[in-house]
Amino acid sequence: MRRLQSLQLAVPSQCAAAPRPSFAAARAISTTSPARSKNTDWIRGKLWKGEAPGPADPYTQRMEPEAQTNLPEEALESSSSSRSRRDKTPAAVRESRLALPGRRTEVAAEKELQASDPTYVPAADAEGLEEIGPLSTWWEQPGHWGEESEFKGFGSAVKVVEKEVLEVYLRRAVVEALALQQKGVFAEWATKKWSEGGARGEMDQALAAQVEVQDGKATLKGDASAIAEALTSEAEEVESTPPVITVEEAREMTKSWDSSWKNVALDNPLRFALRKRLYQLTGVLIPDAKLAAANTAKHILTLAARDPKPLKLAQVLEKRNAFGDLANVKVHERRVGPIDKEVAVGRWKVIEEELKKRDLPVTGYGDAPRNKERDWLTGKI
Amino acid sequence: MASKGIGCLGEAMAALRISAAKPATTSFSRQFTRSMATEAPLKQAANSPVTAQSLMQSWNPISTVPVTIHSFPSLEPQSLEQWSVQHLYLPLRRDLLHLAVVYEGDNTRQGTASSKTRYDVHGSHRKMRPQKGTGRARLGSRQSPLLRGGGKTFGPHPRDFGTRLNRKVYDKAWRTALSYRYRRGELIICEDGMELAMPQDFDLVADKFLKDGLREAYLKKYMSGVLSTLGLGKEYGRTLFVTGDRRDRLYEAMEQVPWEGRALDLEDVDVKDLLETGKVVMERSVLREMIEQHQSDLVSRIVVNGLPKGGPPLGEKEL
Repeated sequence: MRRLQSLQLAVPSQCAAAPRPSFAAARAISTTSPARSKNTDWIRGKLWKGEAPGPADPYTQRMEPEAQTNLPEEALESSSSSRSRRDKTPAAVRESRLALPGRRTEVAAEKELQASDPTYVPAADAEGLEEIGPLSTWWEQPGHWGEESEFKGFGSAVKVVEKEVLEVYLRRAVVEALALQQKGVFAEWATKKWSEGGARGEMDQALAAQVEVQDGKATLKGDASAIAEALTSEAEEVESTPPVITVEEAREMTKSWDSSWKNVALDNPLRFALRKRLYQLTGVLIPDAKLAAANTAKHILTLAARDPKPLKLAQVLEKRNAFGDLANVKVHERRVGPIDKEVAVGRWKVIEEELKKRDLPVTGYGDAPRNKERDWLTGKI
Repeated sequence: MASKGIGCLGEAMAALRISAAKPATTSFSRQFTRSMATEAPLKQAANSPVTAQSLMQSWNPISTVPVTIHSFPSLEPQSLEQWSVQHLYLPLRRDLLHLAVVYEGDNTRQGTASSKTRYDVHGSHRKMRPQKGTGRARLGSRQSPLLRGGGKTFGPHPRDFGTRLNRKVYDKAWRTALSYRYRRGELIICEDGMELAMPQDFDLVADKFLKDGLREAYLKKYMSGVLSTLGLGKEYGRTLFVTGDRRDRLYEAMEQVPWEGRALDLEDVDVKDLLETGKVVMERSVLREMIEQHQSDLVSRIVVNGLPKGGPPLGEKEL
């Protein structure tokens, strides 16, 4: 591009009336032929020890003269403006989707402004100024942290905690593993990543299949090939979360199944596959040492489901209404402090008023330091 | 007294009747339980609900335990290995761990505290005032430990605080620490070459265009997100990452969030570090190396029939 312009410049017939650039600029055409510069590349590489900075021919870079072409004005404008804009932002910044802070801008000094605008009044305070945080909080500010920066692990981001829902997903995993086994591709696919199966249809398809267990050996009755097909398809991964199941739905589903499916016996590959699939669907990763103790699917469920957090003593007592019928016991939500005691006898308002009248802090110490004696006693100093 | 005795007898008779009335399915020895003594409740494994705890207690691996190898940082399970129980399923021995931690602590003490005795303090040894006649206490030189600016009588001097521990004890403690982590499900093994993969958008601009703390701030936010997604962050008790050598991205990111955990290479890890954080994430090769270096109690140096007795095999791949 640059070469072409300089070539046009060098054409002598053009520069009759147009303002001429300086001689140095006009001499932008290089005396080094492109072929020769190619030949010198190797020595430049040697000199700079690798990729050489700057253009191969420094003489062509001398001062870009104003474009003087025969092109129509519109084309000229659009091309020059787009180029200048492009030149300013580096390619990497343009391609990256991260929101980066803008370039530094400078505002005219007060004196210059006053000279140019007689009605200018300097501001006396910072009111109305936009507040911008420091760069360390740049990514916390709204609009700066986008989708492209979110991390996505293998396991589901939404962790399933309810036992009923876990059971549904476990059944799905068991059915899928059995389907792969029936198709004879389980050995190949046990360690691979199965298709996430975000669509509700896929899940219903897997859950519709019947599992019959006899002495730990399970057989699948249903469309095994379709289930296996959905798992092993190399179709493009659609960004989708596994379908959300409510607890009620899950309860209905688990009731409709014969519970014997949970007696399916596990071996090491099956255990591995179920653990992996369960992590993918529910975000629950069962530790190795625990998983190895599981011999049936029921055991996996026991290990994966977490007991609800035990209540705190205060909550237990409240639930039991332990102090309801004791006349001399009162239960408070939080600790009863000196202020609470004053409030109870109705003295706090007066104290607060008096403190304010004397310009003393109502709570805390104000500017006064904490008493040193306490630190002496507790051995801090 | 007598009535109480009769009462006891009655109870015993009742117990006998109950045990006789039990169906014949009970085993032979059960029929002859000593019903005169206090009866302990019989275990009925079939009827009581199976809890996670009882399941774990029923599992006693004899030779090997499974170890899943994950990819990093997605934590996708990739393969399965079997490790010897001698390596990763040792019983917890708090005494060994205590010995090891104390030993390490002693050996990392700097021991450079140094004070001057009266013979090291600079100055003249002239007698400060006459022995008699001034009405004041007798006094020798200016360096006397009784005086301000004088020497210190029994002050600290540079020394080595290091203690010793039998190599086999230390090695067993090391594997005990790993086993403890494994047993509690806090040991996560990843594939070799563990490195934090960053979004491509970040990689494009990271080196040249993120300046003035922007890059660090980005890494901080990103790493916090990663750790909380994977369940390795502060609310899970921090995480120790162990790699074979320094991995720039991972280490730099972890340096931004020291409250979420830390990253160390193999040489810098101690038993104490393994026990410190909530989770330990390490490379497969690091685990191998650790156990190879710490199995002196399993490996003999005595050569029999031309071969020394080696320990159990290190991690055999199953899947």
